[in-house]
Amino acid sequence: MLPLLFLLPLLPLMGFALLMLFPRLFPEKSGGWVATAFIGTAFVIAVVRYLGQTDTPAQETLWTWLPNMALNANLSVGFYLDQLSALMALIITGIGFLIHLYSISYMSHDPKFTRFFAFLNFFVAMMLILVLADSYPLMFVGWEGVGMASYLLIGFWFSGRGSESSDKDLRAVGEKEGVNNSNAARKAFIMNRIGDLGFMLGMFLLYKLYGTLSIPELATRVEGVSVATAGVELACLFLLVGAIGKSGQLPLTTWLPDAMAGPTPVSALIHAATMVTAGVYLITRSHFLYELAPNASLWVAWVGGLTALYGALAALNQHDIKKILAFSTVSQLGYMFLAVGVGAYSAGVFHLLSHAFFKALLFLAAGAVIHALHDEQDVRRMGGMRKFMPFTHIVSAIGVLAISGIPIWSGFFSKDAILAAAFETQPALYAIGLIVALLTAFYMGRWYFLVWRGEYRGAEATGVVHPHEADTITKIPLGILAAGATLIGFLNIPTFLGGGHAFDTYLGRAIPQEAHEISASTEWTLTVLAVVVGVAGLAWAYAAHRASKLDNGPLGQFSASALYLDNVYDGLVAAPSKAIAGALDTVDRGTDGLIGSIASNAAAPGALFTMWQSGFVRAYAVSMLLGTAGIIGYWALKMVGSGA
Amino acid sequence: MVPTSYYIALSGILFALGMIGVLTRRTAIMVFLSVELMLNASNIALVAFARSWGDLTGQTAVFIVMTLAAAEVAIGLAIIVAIFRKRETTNVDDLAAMKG
Repeated sequence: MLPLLFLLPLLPLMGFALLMLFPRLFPEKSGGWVATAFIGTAFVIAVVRYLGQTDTPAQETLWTWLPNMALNANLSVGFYLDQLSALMALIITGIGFLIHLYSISYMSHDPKFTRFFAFLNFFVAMMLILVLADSYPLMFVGWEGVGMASYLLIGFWFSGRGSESSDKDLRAVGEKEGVNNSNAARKAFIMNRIGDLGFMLGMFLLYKLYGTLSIPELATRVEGVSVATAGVELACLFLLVGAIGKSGQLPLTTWLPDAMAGPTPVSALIHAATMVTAGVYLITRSHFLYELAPNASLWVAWVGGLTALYGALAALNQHDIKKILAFSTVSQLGYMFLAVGVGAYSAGVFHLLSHAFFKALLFLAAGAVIHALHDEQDVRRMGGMRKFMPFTHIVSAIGVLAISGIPIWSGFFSKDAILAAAFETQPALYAIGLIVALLTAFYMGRWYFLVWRGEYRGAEATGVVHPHEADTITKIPLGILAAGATLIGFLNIPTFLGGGHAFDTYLGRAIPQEAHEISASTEWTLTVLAVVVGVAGLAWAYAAHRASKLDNGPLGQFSASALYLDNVYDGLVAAPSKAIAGALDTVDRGTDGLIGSIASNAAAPGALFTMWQSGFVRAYAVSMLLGTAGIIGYWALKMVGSGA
Repeated sequence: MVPTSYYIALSGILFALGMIGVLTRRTAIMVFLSVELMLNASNIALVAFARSWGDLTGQTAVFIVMTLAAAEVAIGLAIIVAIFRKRETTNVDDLAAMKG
């Protein structure tokens, strides 16, 4: 008997509830261990379910959720496990577990330690609901949940790290930083809401077209019911908007680099294992729709290709150790979109898997460096770290090799698969992909040389003369991730290299495979070209490093400002919104003042009467006397008048 | 036999004196005494009317007024003592605010 699917999201959710409601039960670091244990158990369940699955997907219905929506279509809360969601569950719980473990050490000095782990658990729970959902509305629950969790975690240091310090200057800096962090969290939240609107519109349209929102049901009904192609295309484009928001693709990309405001393990969790992959997952999950919508698929591919280029260009001249990686994530997600857009779903998911490993590795390694240098994030103040942190250096080098697509490391296999698929269908996108590969290798090389090679430049600025190597709890996840980043590629050795596409075959039971039509010789050429480009990128970075020209990368300010996309938004959206808000505020204040003055004028006569209530007993007595005299006098006059 | 109007005049004079006392005196005890004076003035009027009508109802009312006055003094003095302990004054103008 296999453990039930709902346990997967339930376990981390229980961890969240426990840590949130009874934080005092977990003194010191025990809360972190509890949270990690919950994720670990979820991982074990995911492994058991993965090993125990058959070719027919498992579906478990828990209860009726939205009965009689219309046309007797009941919507239930149910979980669905096929090869794709089993794999996603493994990635989320597995990588999530390692990140939890790492955080125990990384966050150990934080006063809000227990709450941090509650949020992490919540994040993982919501992501599991997202991938295991058997219907779009339930997926949307997880979708919103991860949005919420990312908001909480990106803004985790909402008051700044130094804001509780006794030093006044430090506190002022901390408060400024806190405002920035809160703004980053808000930005992520709002940009995601824009995407969510697309997701919702997509759902409504799909319901209108097919009368169901249950994904397996929809997949079968799509073949039976013939609807206007335009309707499906539009629904797919709406879903794409949702995916763009969550995955930080163009044009909703700017929240993702800003999300670096959160603690480093959060960056790793968002960027590697959970939230941003949701967009790729959504499109892969809806593959049966996108197959009916070639134009929407083309849009997906082009959005992906352009985002890949955008991210790579923006990463060239960043100075923040985490921002380089953040733009790299944007770029790599673009690759995945490119893959699923051209119909190479399993290549996209494969890149998602290998990316989860090496990007988590790179982020956690960057976190170790930041930790060692006491919160210094500027790469210009690093350098030569390999002498101080030999272990972290080696795993970082592995990460860089993996992302640059150097053979035997995982990125080589997954990126190659995408490039081959792009070459087949969209040569223009292939060209972009190749340029991006070159740029990727260069900026990752730049990252590597600036941080790890050369001379240590940060002693004065950071005040840390001898950075210390990471501790054991930190090293374990780093080691495992490095091993994964190295080995995971061998899951999917392509035919021309003597492999059997094991991963593609596995996923092929759930999602369709693109037919490979290119010959082995062409594929060899493509592979060699990709490797050459990767090596060239690293060599370029090395040459620039020798010439000490890496501090300011190519494209200068253009790249450092992320191609001015933020400024464009500020001008086009933010400034008019602010002007409207300012005008409305003035009107509001005017109205408020008017009503306030009416109210105070209405109260004024009342104030006159309060003067009588002076508390002077004799004044009351006089008024009584006068009143009595008045009444008696009136009667007397009346009597006189009536002649009695 | 003294005419009833004499008694009524005496009652009126006493009542007016009492009222002047209430209005002019600042000490709570003196205000109190003046109130007693007014009550007694009304008692005289009641007795005088009772005698002129040959009816005992007025006399009965006097007893009620006297009982009332006694009760009033008992409670009133207690309040005055309590206030004096707290404020060390019995000046009614100073006691305009109720806030302790």
